[in-house]
Amino acid sequence: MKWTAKDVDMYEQTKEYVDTALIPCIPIGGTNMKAFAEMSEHVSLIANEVERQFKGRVMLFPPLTYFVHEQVQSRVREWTNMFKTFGFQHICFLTSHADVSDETFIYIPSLPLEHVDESYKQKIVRQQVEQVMDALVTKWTLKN
Amino acid sequence: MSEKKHRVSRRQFLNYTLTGVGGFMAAGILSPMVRFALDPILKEETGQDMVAVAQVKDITTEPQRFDFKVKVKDAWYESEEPRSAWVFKDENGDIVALSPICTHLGCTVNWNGDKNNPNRFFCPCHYGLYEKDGTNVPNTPPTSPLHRYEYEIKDGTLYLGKAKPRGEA
Repeated sequence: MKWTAKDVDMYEQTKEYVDTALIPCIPIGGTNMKAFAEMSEHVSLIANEVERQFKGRVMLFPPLTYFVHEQVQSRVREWTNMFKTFGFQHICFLTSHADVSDETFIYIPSLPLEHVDESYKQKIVRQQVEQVMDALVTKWTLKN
Repeated sequence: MSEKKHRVSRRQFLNYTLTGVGGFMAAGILSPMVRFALDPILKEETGQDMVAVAQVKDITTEPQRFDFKVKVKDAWYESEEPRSAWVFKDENGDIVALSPICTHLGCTVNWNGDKNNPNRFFCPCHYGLYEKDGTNVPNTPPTSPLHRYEYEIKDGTLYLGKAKPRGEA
C-alpha cells in the first residue's frame, strides 16, 4: 500500500495484515548532485516495485529525506519508534547511500542505469527487488 | 393583389432578421457547450487494448511468469504500468493466463513459492495458496480464485487484455 488516501482507506480496514513499514531514504548533497539524484531515483524505483509485489503487507511511506551532513541515524531511530507506536512490527529503511548503510538499513547500490539497455536494466532492477523482498521475507519468518 | 397581402412591413422584416441572426448566435454559443456536456456519454468506452505478451510456442504446461506493460490513462496523464501473468496450458491444451494479484490484499503470488506446497501458487504476504487453475485453497486468507486475463492468439503470439474474476473471462 502507498501513502495515498485510497490505500490508507484500505489500510484502516485491514490493519492486522499490514505489519511492515517501508521507508526509502533519500540524501541531498550540494556537491556531486547527480550521484545523489541517481540514488533518489533508484531507491524510489526499487521501493515502488517492492510495494507492488507486497502490496498487502507493506505500507510504503514517503521518503525520509536528509542532507548529507545530517546525522540521519538519530532520525531513523526516531522514525522507527514512531512507526512502532502506529502498530508496525517491521520497519525497513531502504537506502542507496553507502555512507549511512549499517544493519538498520537495507542497502541497494545505485547503478548508473541511464545509458544501460532497457532489457538489461530490468534484469538488474529485478535482482535488486528480489534481494529486498528476500530480506523482508526473512524478517517475517524470523518473527513467526 | 396577392402581392399586397404578402407585403412585409419594415417592423416584420427587422423582427425576422433579428430573430434569425440572434438564433444563429445562440446556437453558435450553445452547441459547443452541449457537446462538452455530452462528451463523456458519447465517448466510446476505451477498453484496454490487448498487449502482446508471449509466443505461443514458449508456453508449457508449467506456469511461467511473463512481464509486460500496459498503457494507463489517468485523466490526461498517460503512463505505463508493469503487469505480470502466469501462463500455462491446461490438460485440454487451452491457454490459461492468471493474474498474479492475490485476491486477499493484492500481493504478487508465485508458482511453487513454498517448499511445503509444491505445484501451487503461494502468496508470501499472508501465506495464501491457490491450486494450479487459480482456485483458492480453503483455510488460507484468500476468499476467491485468482483472476484470469482475457486472451487472444494472433499469428502465434499471445495477447492479453483485462484480468477478470473467474466466470467472467
